[in-house]
Amino acid sequence: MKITCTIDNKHILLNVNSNKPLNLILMEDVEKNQTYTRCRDGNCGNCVVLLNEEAVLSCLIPAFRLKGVRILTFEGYQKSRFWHDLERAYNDTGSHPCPHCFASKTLIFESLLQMIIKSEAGPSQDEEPDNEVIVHEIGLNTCACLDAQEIIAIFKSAATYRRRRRVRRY
Amino acid sequence: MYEGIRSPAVHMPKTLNDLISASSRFPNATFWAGGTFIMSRNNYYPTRKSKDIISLNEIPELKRINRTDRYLEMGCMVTFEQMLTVGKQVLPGLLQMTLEQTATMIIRRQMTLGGAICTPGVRIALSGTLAALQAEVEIKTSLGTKTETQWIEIERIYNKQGVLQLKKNDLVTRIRVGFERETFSSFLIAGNPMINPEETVMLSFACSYNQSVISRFRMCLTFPTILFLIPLEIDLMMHGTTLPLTSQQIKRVVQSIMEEVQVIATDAVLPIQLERARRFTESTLHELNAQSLSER
Amino acid sequence: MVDKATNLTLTSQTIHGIVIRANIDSGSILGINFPKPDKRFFVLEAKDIIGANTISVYGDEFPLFASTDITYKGQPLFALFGPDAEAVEIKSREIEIDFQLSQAQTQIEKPQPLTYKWGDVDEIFTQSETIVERTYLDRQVWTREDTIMQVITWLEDDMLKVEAPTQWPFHVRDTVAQICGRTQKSVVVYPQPHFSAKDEKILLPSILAAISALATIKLGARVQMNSHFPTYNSPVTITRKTALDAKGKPLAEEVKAVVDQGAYSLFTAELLTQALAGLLPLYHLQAFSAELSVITSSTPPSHFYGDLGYSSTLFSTETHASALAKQAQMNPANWRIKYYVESFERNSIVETLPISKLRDLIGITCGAADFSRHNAVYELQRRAKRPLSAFLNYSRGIGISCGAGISGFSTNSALHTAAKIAVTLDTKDHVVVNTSFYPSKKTTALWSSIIIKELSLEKETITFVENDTTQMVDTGPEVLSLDVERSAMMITHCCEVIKRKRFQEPLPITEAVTAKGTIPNRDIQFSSKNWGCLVLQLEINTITLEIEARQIWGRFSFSNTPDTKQLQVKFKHIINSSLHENNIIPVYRKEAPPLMDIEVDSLGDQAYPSSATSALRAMVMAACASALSQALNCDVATMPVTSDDIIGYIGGRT
Repeated sequence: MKITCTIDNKHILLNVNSNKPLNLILMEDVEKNQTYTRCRDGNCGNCVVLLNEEAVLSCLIPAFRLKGVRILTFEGYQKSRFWHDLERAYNDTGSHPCPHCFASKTLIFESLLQMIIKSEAGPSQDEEPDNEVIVHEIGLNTCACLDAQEIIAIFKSAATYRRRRRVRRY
Repeated sequence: MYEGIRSPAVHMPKTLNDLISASSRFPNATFWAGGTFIMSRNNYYPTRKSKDIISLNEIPELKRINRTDRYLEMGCMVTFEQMLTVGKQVLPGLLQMTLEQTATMIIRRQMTLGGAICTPGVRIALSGTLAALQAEVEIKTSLGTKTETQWIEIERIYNKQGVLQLKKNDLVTRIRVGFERETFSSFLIAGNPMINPEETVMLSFACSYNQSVISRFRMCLTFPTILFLIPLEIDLMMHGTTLPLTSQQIKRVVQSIMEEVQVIATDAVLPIQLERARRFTESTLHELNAQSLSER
Repeated sequence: MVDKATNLTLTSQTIHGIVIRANIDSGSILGINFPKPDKRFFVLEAKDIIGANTISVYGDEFPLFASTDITYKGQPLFALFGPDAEAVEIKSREIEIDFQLSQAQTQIEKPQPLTYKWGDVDEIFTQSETIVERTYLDRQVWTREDTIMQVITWLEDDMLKVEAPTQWPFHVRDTVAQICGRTQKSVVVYPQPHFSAKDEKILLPSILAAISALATIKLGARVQMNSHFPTYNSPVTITRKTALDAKGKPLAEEVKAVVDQGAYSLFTAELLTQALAGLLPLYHLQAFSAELSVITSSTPPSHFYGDLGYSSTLFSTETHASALAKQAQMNPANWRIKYYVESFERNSIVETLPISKLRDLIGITCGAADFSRHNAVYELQRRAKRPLSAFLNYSRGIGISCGAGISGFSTNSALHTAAKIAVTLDTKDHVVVNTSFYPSKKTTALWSSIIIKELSLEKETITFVENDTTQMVDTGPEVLSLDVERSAMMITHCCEVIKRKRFQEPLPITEAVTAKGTIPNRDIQFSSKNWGCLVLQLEINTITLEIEARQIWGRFSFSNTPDTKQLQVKFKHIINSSLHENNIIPVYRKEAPPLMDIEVDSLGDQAYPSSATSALRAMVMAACASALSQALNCDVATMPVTSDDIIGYIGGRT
């Protein structure tokens, strides 16, 4: 099956099997080495990418769903300005995910940060997720390196930076 | 494509009629809802035996949430996250609890109602909760040129071991839940049905009572691969009982359920599952008592 | 545009390979039935090996491919290669292998067990009032199979080139050379970035690279192999028998430890020495006797798993201390403060910071955790008539443990042989550090701080060799935090020599040092520069029967540490991982205090830091075991705890 999509801001034509999972496409066809895990049961949570700005487990996305989508791996995300909010949050709190799950947890944090932004409505309509939701969402990645307080501290710090960025926009 | 591996054809019907027609023309094709279960199987890819795919993603009728006088009707392609977001004001508390605890938002955006109900081999929490809420499913059966549609109670699509009983040409298109609100509900889960199903236990419970008299007592106990138990006799037994339940009554209910579990699940059940099931049932009834007492 | 071509010839593209492994524990291969001959696929077996079918590890050997006998589940049998990864994986499922099963063997492994003793244990046992005997088991655990290891090999100008993530690049080189019958100089390894918390990349990359390189030579093509085979720890069974006097004071102890190293015992001598270090208790004993032996079994070979046996034996030592405190009906923290003393006999194996510092730490940690009050409350609950009642919904315990952290190999270990680091100061006052250890951020920060201090240079002038084995020096396997203590000593030594020569000899000056040349010649096997104390409170959810961690307090003292904040983060990572490994879930509770209260202090000494990683794993296990014993009102001596164990404990079957 021939599929056109955008991966890390590059237009790509893929010629892959229609049911090939996105994580294998990224590893083998596009040679993005961020997601060097393959748990074979969708349960490790270590293959997160952004698909149309929403975090997804790339091992659960088949090729036939990729037509016209925009995919951002961690490699591409690091080139975006949004990464700096999390980078600073990691530095400020002194906590960070371990190298094994760094990419995946960062992208899950990013998907949570996007929840607080309602771009049309403006800053007064921000809806920050509860602490339980934040901890639960990060728990999608089963690597047990961060505890709940660290997760919440990182998110709160990054959310502050993200709000400042939005205020500058407005 | 790849040497000797066939790329499955993907059919994307746009209407229900197209879907029924496609299912007749390709009887061996796999229905693809969210794809979270199919793609999490061990030898999903690569495989020589890839069946053609009928994707349900392009059919608007299957993605609708509709509210009638008596029911909340949801298409089988409605995702868990859509249910939580759109149905926040109208979803029963038990269903909300179940959806939130089943998976994170990232997965919920992909998991669909129909896919979750129809997973072969593993029952996840949603089926038990819908059974406790006495939800109904709309089944469309393709009979050549005709299509038969009927609404049936969700527990009738499973046997006591939780095995799906739908026929090959049956399609689950909608699910509906009544607006009648339970007075007390509880959802308990230990383990993860996808990671360690042999140790996982799930209990969904919905109870209605008026002036301390029970009018509805509905429980569903699920062991993901071996048990889907709705003890209807206990519903009949508890109907009309006054709260709070005595310790003898609790003991009788627990004993009755455990006896049924032993009969249905036989040797396949692990001691940890039995113990959890017993504790879940007991603690739920204690909590029911606590709530009824606190309202006095 | 990325296009996957449909018409491949074997020599024009990257060939993909897969290792076919045994799925029985023990037996022999009767026959292998390949699907009908297909020119697109290629099989490599033991008979295709150009050199010898062995992988050498410091004098120990094991086969690359099983020839006829299978000695463990997962043992490589042969490898299959084809035009793409999908085709190879599908083809591999079509291969049928006929096995004859045989009884899995357990046997005592030679050499002779390691023994260590002082005093006359038997005499004291005959005179003693009470004898407490317990058996502890650190079960086998393994890493998830999801991390993929990828190795690529190709030929370039008659040089065999290998790309692999590895903790030991020179072992990859030597193994490839041995298997392929080539000289070491004709093999070049390019180490790739990796993160190996459980030492997943000690020997597996060598195995994979050897197979891939063999295929490259046979096919003349670039070969890529992916594998995700787990790493295992060595289960250890420890029996401790302690003689006590009338007041409960320990007098003598006899310890027997049996380590199951799986099908092939590797790094055995060092493993036994490290395990012995963990067995030595901190309480004074008039007599002590320890015997450590290794057995083999039909499980995958196991050795390094974040440490090399120290954490398993330290877990038994600390859990046993709590058991002795319980026997004496004392608060386990007070018992430790009373009976933990300096010991000349122990110091000849593990030299530690003063015990008085540890006693202070215990006091501080218990103060922070309000240990006495919690312990008293949970002791009362333990004696309650209906523990783990679903109605009462309350079953908690609190445990304490402590220990000294060690890192690196023992002083007399043969594993230090040939380990080298070189430092060069060039004409522009730039420093190049040459080592085969992977230059991670944490390691380079430590080494840079030493160089900056010794040579008065700026951070930007320091670089680290990252290229390949033709340019690196062999520093040996990167395990046991060797990048911390030993490497720091070696780099300091190099810098001191360069400093002396700097204004006397022309630049550039290169100074290389071996590990043997740096380690002081002494009888002490390990030198620990830190103490740690951990208190852990947990609860068994009486509804779900899951074990939930409620709160953890940890206080650590280091003689010298460059960055206490970074250590705190690392310790939290290790504690979290260890909890999950032991099936204990840290549960988030709204309004509850933070799960972990960890503090690290530096004593400001000039000594090189040693790691506390392996000790911390042991402390978590020991504290969990003690807390679970209290929560369940029985002796918990096996970790990790499984649901079967919980059911057994509830049913009274300990």
